[in-house]
Amino acid sequence: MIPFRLTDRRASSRPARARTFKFRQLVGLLLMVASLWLMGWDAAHRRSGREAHTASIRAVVRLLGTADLALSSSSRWLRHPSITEPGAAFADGPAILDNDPAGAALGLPREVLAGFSAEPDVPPLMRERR
Amino acid sequence: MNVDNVMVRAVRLTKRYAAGRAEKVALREVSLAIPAGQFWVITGPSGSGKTTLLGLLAGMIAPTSGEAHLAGRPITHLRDHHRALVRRRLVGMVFQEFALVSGMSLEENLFLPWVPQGGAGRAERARARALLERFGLAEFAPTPVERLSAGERQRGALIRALVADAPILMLDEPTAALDSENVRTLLALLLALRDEGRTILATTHDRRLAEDPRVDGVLRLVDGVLEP
Amino acid sequence: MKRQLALICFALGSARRRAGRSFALGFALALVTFALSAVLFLTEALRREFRLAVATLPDLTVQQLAAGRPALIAEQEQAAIAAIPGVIAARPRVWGYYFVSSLSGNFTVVGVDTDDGAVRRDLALVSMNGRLPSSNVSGEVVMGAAAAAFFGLEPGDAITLPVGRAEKRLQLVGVFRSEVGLWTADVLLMSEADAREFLHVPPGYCTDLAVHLSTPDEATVVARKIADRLPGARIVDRQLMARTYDLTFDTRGGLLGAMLLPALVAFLVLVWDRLTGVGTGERREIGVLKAVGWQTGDVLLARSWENAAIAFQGAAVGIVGAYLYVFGARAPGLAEVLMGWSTLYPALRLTPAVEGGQMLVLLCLAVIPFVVAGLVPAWRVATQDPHGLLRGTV
Repeated sequence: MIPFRLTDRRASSRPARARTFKFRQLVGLLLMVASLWLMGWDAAHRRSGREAHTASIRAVVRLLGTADLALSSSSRWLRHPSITEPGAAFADGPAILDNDPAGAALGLPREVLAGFSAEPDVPPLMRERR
Repeated sequence: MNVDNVMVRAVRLTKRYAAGRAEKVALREVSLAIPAGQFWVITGPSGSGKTTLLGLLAGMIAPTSGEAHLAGRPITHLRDHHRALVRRRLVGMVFQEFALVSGMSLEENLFLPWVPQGGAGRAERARARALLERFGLAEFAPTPVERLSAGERQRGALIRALVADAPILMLDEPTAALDSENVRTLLALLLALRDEGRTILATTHDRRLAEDPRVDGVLRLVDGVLEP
Repeated sequence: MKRQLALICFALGSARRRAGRSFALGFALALVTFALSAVLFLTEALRREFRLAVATLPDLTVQQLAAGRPALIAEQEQAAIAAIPGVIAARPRVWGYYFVSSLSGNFTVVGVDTDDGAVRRDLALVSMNGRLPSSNVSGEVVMGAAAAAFFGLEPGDAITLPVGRAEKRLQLVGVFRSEVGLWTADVLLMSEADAREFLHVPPGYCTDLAVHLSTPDEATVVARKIADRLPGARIVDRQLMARTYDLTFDTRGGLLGAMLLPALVAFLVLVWDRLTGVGTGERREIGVLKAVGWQTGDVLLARSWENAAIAFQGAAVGIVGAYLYVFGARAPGLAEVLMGWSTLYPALRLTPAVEGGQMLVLLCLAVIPFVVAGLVPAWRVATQDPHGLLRGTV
């Protein structure tokens, strides 16, 4: 046995720190995984709960005659409920672009502007010269 | 097979480094043979290539030319992976800067070499416990290493080198951070380990170590060349 | 497995030793993930609600235009449309908007034939507090929850509303429950006669015609025939309505996403800065690992686990936080942005619509770039001379 003189600071003046934190961190990681799993379980539970209301939702849609949500869209053929963007009330024409900002930057698909996908035959313009 | 009982051998080891456009020769054709169970010291001024020589002998860096042998086995031409395996089995290394990771406890630092293999086994843990007791550091095992004194860290680094129970112990400037009392203590320890059968090679520019009569041999390195 | 577990524990320890850096990166990632996830959860949930009911929509809705604006349509057009092959029924609908100055907004008035068996069956199926309106009785109304709350009414209470120069007394008999709140928030459902009175729709006219087809795929063909019979009519088919809603959600969601773009860019810059620079302490640590026998591959694997752990925890916190924000707290602030400006909002009781696979993709998108960004600088350091790293000379 080699004798060692501890010429350095005494141990009692330097309390040993608790055991490493790695297990605490591993637990933290596992907690995150558990949270995500719990979130998925809750989502599935809510979805199955919502299924029970599907019949009610469909009945409402039949009664109201529309499936549009009570949200603002500024589209003139979707019902808008009290929730309309200012200015949207004036855009009544079939080909008037929506007030949505995206409509200002990029045009909407043509069939959305037309209102239906097939156009009726239109006779050519007739011009009479004096 | 180690026929002639030479544990550490260097055959015309040369190491060149690129230093900008020029080339720096850290070691020039160094040859040596350290017998098993002896304590040798390599001395020389700063920048003479002692650390580089130790790195080459331990298989940590590859030479530009020449060969290194450990326990009769050439290691120079092994692939990195195999060289690391051989080094882990045959060499315990103590670095000048102790090479301890701040923020980790002494115990965690002891078992650091075994992390990539899935952690230290029972044998290593038992050896570590015994060495901690022997060196008077058992109560500091959970202490973060930055809270230990230089001497305690030195001993911690030594314990880590001994846990693997390798037959060769290499130390780079082991007395650099120690006072006289601790130097004497360290020397006594190394001699005891030598007496237990280990082969010890230490580099130093400390005369207290180099001129101790109980050391088996002293080699002098100057400007990368071993003096005869 | 044991090796990976040991490296993961080491990596977690490393992350803890560099707590400041780890927290900063994890927190920033959590914020970005939270914002993007919240928008995704909300738009997908709203889209899901719509899709739940879209199959019940009439296949075609026919509106009459006058001076380019929707006008009332003569009920007799119903016969012409019903005669088209493929049309099962063309039902006239009386509905419209009723402006209330104190709300500064509109309610949707919907008239139904309270005597009709099918209507009564549907009323019985709908989640409602109170009772069904009596058959063919005037002056009874069923309101949406938000509408009833605005007026301060409960089932049994009555309210008198101005209709032109006159007034109309309505007794609240039922309130739609929150399960159908997204469709009924602003609805005043009453008898058709009461609705005509409110909306000034004279007999013989209706707001539009709801057309049901035997084969929904023939919608385009039937629409053309209706257009031939009714020049100037606007015909909206179900697919178009669904498409418009998709556009609305995509637009709003995309707009929000675009607003988050500067934050995302700032975050990526932070990640790049933190991960591509290997600090002095980290370089020394890598030097120690190489010195004690770790291979370059071991160092890179440990580093990857460290970055993956930080990224995973940050992203998980963001995703779970967004889930609680949207489905627990009902997304205050964000919901209004996605729903648009309003004076009357439906109570949002949404159902999560994002699948596990999408969540996994979101997590991977957060974790993988983090891990990859940290590999190259770590590799550059790990391949250097351990002695030089220990001394700080390389």
